[in-house]
Amino acid sequence: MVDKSNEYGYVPSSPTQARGANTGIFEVNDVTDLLNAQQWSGTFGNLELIQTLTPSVHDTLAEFDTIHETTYDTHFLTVCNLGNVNGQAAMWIRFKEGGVLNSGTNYAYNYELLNQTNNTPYGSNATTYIQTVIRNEIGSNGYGVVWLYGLGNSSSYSVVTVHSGIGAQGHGGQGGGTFYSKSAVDGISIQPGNNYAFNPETVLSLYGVNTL
Amino acid sequence: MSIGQLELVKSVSDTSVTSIDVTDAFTASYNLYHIIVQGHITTTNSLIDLRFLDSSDTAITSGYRYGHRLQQNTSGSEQNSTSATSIESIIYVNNGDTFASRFFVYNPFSNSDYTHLTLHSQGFTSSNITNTRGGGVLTTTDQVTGFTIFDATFSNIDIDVYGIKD
Repeated sequence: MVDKSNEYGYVPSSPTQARGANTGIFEVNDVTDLLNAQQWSGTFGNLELIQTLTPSVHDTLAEFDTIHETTYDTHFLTVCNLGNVNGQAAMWIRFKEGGVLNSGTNYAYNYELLNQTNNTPYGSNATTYIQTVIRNEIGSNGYGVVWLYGLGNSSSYSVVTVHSGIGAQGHGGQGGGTFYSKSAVDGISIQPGNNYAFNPETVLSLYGVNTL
Repeated sequence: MSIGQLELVKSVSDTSVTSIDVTDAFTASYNLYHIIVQGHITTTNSLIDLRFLDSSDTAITSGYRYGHRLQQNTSGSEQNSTSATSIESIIYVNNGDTFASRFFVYNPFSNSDYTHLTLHSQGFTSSNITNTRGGGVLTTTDQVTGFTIFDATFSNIDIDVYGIKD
């Protein structure tokens, strides 16, 4: 928050602000500063935008390195226009601990890809990434949402659920995954599939669910 | 409050229990609720169930219908009933460990409409990754004010209930 201590001569210092314990009289700019610092109580239940990433073409990673994992129990990721420059691929999620990507065999996922007539199951319970049902097809971008649970909880695994739709092919799907390392996750790494690169239309937005 | 906003109605947590009641969760203030459930279980072969509570906080034990798609690793199956005593298998955690789940509940407080529920749950153990997608309905017009989640041993469970302002 901007230090207000010099604005009024009789104010000795700015009061300490925290979610659930804001105190004082606030100008619009104060609220904006506190919102950006995740220190404004706001309305419990709100989705609060943490960051939007728009990877450049040929980027192979999109990384959320500040996720406020101690503030939010639940995160929400929207994926729009997921595409890559190499062809058909399914989006991967991996996590960071202490700022370091965990690329070990600590991930599990399963989902069913649905089309007009059948389900195609995918899954692994011991692999190095969460493969999601959010995928692009050749000539058609992918769309979907991911709910992420318990990222900041060092005594629990992190769990995700995923829904998707794919435009021109009329596909959709549901599934999810688990990062089975009992550690606090402090970053999220997104890939458009193995050795693939994003196209320039992809937009990824990460939100936190305000419960404090 | 803004229309469309999610507003936290209730948070409930417990440890070492076989069921958890969430009372006074549904009121006339909202028609649609978003519920997030996270936790761990120690029970083997667990299919976790849900019943709604009436305005006396008594569990309603008849009139449920549901249909789900359950997936364990890469094997899928259907589970459904048109005459059940609960909405069964809202969370599937084969041989017990971590789960997270998300429900929407529709029109619970109305005493002229059925109460509907849609769900998406994910579970994990060292040998199985599981998910459940589906929904159910309480085919009575009881005024529903809460719910109970049961039929497993929960080492811990956290539930947040949000109303969606319309």
